[in-house]
Amino acid sequence: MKWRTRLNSEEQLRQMGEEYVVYDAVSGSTHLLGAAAGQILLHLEFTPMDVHNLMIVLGAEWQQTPESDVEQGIEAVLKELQSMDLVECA
Amino acid sequence: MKLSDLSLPELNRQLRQGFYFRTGAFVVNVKSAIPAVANGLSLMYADYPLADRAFADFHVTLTKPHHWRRYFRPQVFFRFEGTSPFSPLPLSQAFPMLEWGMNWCISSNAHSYLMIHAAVLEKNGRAAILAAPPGSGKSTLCAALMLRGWRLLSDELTLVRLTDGRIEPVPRPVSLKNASIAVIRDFDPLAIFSPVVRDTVKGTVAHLKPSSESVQRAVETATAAWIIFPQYVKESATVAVPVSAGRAMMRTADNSFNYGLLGQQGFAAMAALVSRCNCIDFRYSALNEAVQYFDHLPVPDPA
Repeated sequence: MKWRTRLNSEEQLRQMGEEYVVYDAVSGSTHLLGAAAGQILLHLEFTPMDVHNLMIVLGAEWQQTPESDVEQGIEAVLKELQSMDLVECA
Repeated sequence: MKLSDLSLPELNRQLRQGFYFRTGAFVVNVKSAIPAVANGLSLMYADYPLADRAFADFHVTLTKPHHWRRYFRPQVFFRFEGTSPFSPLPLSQAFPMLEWGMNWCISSNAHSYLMIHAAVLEKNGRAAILAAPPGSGKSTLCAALMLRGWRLLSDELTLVRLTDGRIEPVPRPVSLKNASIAVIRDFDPLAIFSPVVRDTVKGTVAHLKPSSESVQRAVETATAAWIIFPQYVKESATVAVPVSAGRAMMRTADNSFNYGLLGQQGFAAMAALVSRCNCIDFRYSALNEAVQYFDHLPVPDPA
């Protein structure tokens, strides 16, 4: 199952130090995201991905070897982003 | 020509027809026959430039009612462009009502700016934005900083230009409430205050005259360098704690008048503003110490 972002412009996501702020143009809400959620959103902006591929991409970026609990962590973040209407299943 | 060039009778005469003056980027036309309005303007706005009668951004009128209330518990009405946005107040509150009304005119209409409910002052070309909810000691700190040489850009309305992110000054009298009036009188016995007005919705209020320099330099915009979230805590030491940019952005957006209205443009302007500032939670009780801290605020690294 692939995930994609519901943002329609890169201008809606800004990195601020280790955090991210994102503007949801549909609801008019602004959200503060932690580093993991921000980076997941950033990757999904360019290509819809499933959790496994996201783990590989993030693992390379964070220089970590893929582990099963990381996959669960990514899933939890995706669910949270979905509850904010920032991502959806592609 | 500035307001102090007019005698009080001449000011009263002009006020009856419509008195035009400039407060930073805005020209206001005030029409009123209420003596407290003329007295308040004469005292608080002495250094302000008069404006051409050809144009005003805001046309406001303060009047007494025509019916029996004129004599029994007299009131004052504020009108803007022919509408009455507020309930009438006791006549003794005419000058505060003019101040609150002018703030409302700007915060309801000046959407070419990102407007933050915050004081803002400048020194050496860098502006400090003091964003905090009412009752946190923002105006008291703002008054103290102005009285120690910081240039007042505003004590209520931080106007961020959407075109270039610079702060537009709109220096006006600093609104002080309750205990902070005596605190600032003690802090600077030469400070000039409007008459104290009691029993308003905000408690006892008085306005502090802006420094002449703040008024004379009201056309000079400034670059924001700090966003400070001040909080007066009785007997607290002076404590400054950095706030992450993301959290500062969320808090500043919460303190904005029109962030939501501006949509993505507001988001972009707020993100750009916060990114170039050092953001700090600031707790204080001793004003002299607080001013000293501000005078040595670390300059942000260029982005």
